[in-house]
Order: sequence, then structure tokens, then C-alpha cells
Amino acid sequence: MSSANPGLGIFTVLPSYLAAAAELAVSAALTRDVSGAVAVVPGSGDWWQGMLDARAGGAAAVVIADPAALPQKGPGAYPWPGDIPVIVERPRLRPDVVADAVRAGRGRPARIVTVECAAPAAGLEAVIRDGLGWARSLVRGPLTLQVCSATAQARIALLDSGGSAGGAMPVTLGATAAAGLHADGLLQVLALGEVRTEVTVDQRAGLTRLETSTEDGTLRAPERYESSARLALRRAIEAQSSGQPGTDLDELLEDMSLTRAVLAT
Amino acid sequence: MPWNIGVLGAGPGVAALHLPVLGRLAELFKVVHIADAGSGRAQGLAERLGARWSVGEADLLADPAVHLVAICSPPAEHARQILAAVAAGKPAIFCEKPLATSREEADEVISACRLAGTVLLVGTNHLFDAAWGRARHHLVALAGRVQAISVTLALPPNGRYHRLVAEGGPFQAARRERLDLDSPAVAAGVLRQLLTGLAIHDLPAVRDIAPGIDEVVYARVAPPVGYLVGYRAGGILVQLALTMLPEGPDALWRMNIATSHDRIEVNFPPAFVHAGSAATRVRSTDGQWTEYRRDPEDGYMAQWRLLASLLEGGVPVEYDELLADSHFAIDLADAAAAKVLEGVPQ
Repeated sequence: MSSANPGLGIFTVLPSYLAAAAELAVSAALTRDVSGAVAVVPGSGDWWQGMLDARAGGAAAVVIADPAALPQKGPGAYPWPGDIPVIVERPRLRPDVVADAVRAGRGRPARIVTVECAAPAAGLEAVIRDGLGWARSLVRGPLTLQVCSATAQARIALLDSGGSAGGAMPVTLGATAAAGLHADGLLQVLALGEVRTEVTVDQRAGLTRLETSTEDGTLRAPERYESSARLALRRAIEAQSSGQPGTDLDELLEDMSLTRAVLAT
Repeated sequence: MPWNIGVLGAGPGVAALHLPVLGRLAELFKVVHIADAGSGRAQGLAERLGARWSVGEADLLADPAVHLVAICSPPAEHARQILAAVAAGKPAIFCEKPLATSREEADEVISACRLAGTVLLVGTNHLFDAAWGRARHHLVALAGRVQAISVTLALPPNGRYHRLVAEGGPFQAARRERLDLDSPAVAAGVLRQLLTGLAIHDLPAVRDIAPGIDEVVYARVAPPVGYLVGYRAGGILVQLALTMLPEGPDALWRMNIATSHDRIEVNFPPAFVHAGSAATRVRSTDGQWTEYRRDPEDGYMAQWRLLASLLEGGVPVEYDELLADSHFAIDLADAAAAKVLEGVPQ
């Protein structure tokens, strides 16, 4: 027998990605050499520098695993050249679940989108960021912050999107800091319209639920059993193969920028 | 013996809601007189019940058989009709929400009822829903500090629910001409009307846990018909959202209360129909979800049962609370309308 193609190299030490590589036995293989490989950069700490280091080491693509806050010396000081694909793993904003939601929405625009987030202080920023990412995905356009108000433990905001019909589509955000030291939180998104989309992501409860309601009833999307890491890795391999850089990083930076604006109030 | 009721108004709220509810409570109440403002609907409704009917309110208020007056007319009539009922010596009044449309009206009607000892109940049915009572108890028992409240409504046309509890429509008001919501003055008026007419369902409950309005952060009419209002009440942030849809899924009517320890979600059933109490669930910070059992009776039934208790003297009339609830709703509606007009030359 001829030797099989070992698959694209995966450069990682993260257990979830070691498992994901094992679950992609045909298309991926672990490697100790970042050159020519998909480099998985942990999202904690200075992941921006990690991403640049991976590229400098010759990585063919980068996966940022569940990124936390944007490091101080981020894109402003060290811009990303954009010449290799970057896939961002956002467990609260999985692209497959987003695609399910958009598809089930049947192209009917929402009238109002509401985003509610609750998390211990350590994780609230990331939950808000992904909540805004959900809103951006559901209204299918960028959001602009109109007004925001905060107390010591909570904040609310009104945002607008251009909307598919040309009018501004309003989005509201409510976020509260809850007790606890962990970083997991609760995210609930409602797109209210002739078709209603309800997304609940509760990492602490191990729950990602997508429900789409019409006059005919409510359809709950099947659970996505593929791990978030495997999905990210698979997308990175596809991006590397197709040469498409993707939009993950731009969308992450856009959501982070908006989150910072909300938190700056 | 049941208490004899005279109903002022013969619209959808009476035909589809109050008469069926009172039919369920026949041991407590009996409708003996219905009056309309000239629509002719009172006759049809009254004849089926063997009740008297009349046009205008004078005959009903002069009817000695009427012990309790149920005011189910358009909101602008409520205060005047309460005063008329008190002046006619009626000992008890049920008033559909809102109690009044201005602070002055509210002051006047509460003062008159208090002076006469008139039993008064305002039909803010969600406040009487057993599920809200349990949610309130949860808040008190666990002493979690409330940080934020949201009340989110997405409502299909009422006709869908009218058809399930009444016959002989159409109950839906004729479609109004398209409003120019780009005009700040029109938008402010619509917003005020929606807050005092629809948000009022939940405002007494909101006031219960977040009294006062310190600052309206945003206020906007959301096309086609709806609102978005955010405000601060001390250390609590409140968001109200409504969209009224020409079609779509069943009604969403949800109140969320975020505390330092957990998050309480109360899902009220659609208006008009009887699906039991709201459904309440609590999500604690450790990711545990707890669903409370639902009560077979809804807030509509509960409010009439409470009125019976008030009539029997079992519980006192909370005039101060009724007045404070009314002031709160009017203040919020005025503040939100003012926010819409902010920066617009008057």
C-alpha cells in the first residue's frame, strides 16, 4: 500500500485541539514544526503576538482559540498582514449555529434584536462581545452604538444597524455582572419579527440552544455535537486549502471595538 | 350571593375577556347591566346574559341593582367614569388599565375613592399572576440585589386570540391610517400611548422592584408599531421593548430580572386566552436552571378573585399603591415622550 497523505500539520498544545486533531485523522496530523502548519494560538494572554509569531514561523493558517480581551499592543502597534487565513474559535458564536439561525430566519428581517448577557466580571466582556457578534450576524450588518448607560454592576445600550430593508434596525444590549469567579456566562439573543429567533448560550450549563418560531410553531435546531475546536480546525484546513483568508478576524476586531465603546461609558 | 356588576364598555376586552372570566367566577360575580357608548354592542352581549343594557353611563350608574362598576371603556374615559361611579354611590369599581391618563386625574380619582371608601382595583393582570408572586417571593427570600430588568413584548394581532375566546367579531379595530413616525411629535404621542396602554401591564411589577425613574437613557418608537425605552432607576437599569407584528409566532411577553445571584425569567401567556399563570424559571450563576410550576389560574382570574376579597373586607384597598403605580406609569410615559422630543424645537 502507498503511504496515505498524513493531512495538514496542526501545531498545538491545547488539549481540546489535540482531541480535535485526533477527530480529523484524515485531514490533520499533529506536528512539532509550525512551518507550513495550522498554528493554534491560545486565546488567553497576548494572543495577538502569538498570532504574529506563528506567521513569522511560517504557519500556513492560524486558529485563535476562544480569545479573551484584545491585548494592549494589538492591531494598532502591530498590524496583521492578512496574508494567511485566520480562523477564530468563538464557542458562544459558532459559525455553524449562526448559519442555522440565518437559514431558519427565511430572509425575514427582524424588527428589533435584543441581547442580554450575564456573567461574572471576569468573563463579561467576552460575553458582551459575542452577544454583539450574534446581533451583527442576525441583522447581517455592522452595528453603531447610539447610547449607553451603566451602573456599578450593569449596563444597557441602544445600537443601530442599517438593516436589510435600508432602515435602521434597532438592537438593545443589557449586560449584568453576576457573582462568581469563573468566566462562563449566559447569553440570550432575541430577533423579534415575523420570524422569531431565540438563541441561548449558557456555557456553565453546557447549553447552546437555537429556536426559530413562526405562526406554525417553534423549531429547535438540532444540537451541534461537533466540538467547537474541531469545527475551527476544519474551517482552518478548508481556508488554507482554498486560500481564502476569511472574515473571522475582522469580525472579531469589529465586535471587540464595539464592546470597548460600550464598556467605555 | 354573587356581587352584581354593571359593565361600562362593550368592546373586545369585555366580549372576549371579562364576560368569559366572570362566567368562570359565577359564584362570585353576576353581570346585570352593560352599557356602550352608542356602538349597539351592549344589547347583544347583555341579552345573552339576561342583563339590562343601555347607552351612555347614566342609566347604568342609576341602576340600583349595580353594586360594582367595571370600567372597560377607552382610557381617556376612565377617570371621569370613576368619579361618576363614586358620585353615584357605587361601593366598588374595577377599572381597566390605566387608572388615569394624567397625574391630576389620578390624584382626583384616588382621593375621591379614598374619601368615599370605594373599593377600587385596577386590572393590571400581570401583577396578580401567581407566577409573578412566586418570582417576587424568590427575590425577597434570596435577597439578591436587582441589577437590571427587561420587559420584552412581541405581539401578533389580538384577533388570533379573540377568535379563541369569542365569536361574532370582527373584534379588531379597523386599521388606522399610517402614522408619520418620522414626526417627533407623532412619535412622542404614540410612545406615550403605548407605554400607558401596553407597558402598563408590567409597570406596577417593575415599580415594585425598581421604584422611580432617574434618567431615560433612550426612548424610541420602533416601526411598524412598537417602542424601545431604557432608563435608570437608582442602581437598576430597565429596558422595555415592544414590537407589534402583522403576523408571526405566538406572543412573547417576557420579564427578565437580573440579580447579583441569578436571573429570573417570567413568560406571560398571550392576552385574552386562558393558559394558566406565567411560566417562571430561574438561572443561577452556577448554570442551574429551575422551572417553577405553573398555576392553573391566570392573572385575569386572580384579579377578580382579589376584588371579591376586597369587597368582603378580607384585604384593604391599597390606595397609595394604586396612586403610586399610576403616577409611575404616567411619569415614565411623559419622560420617554420628552426624550423623543429632546432637541426638537417646540
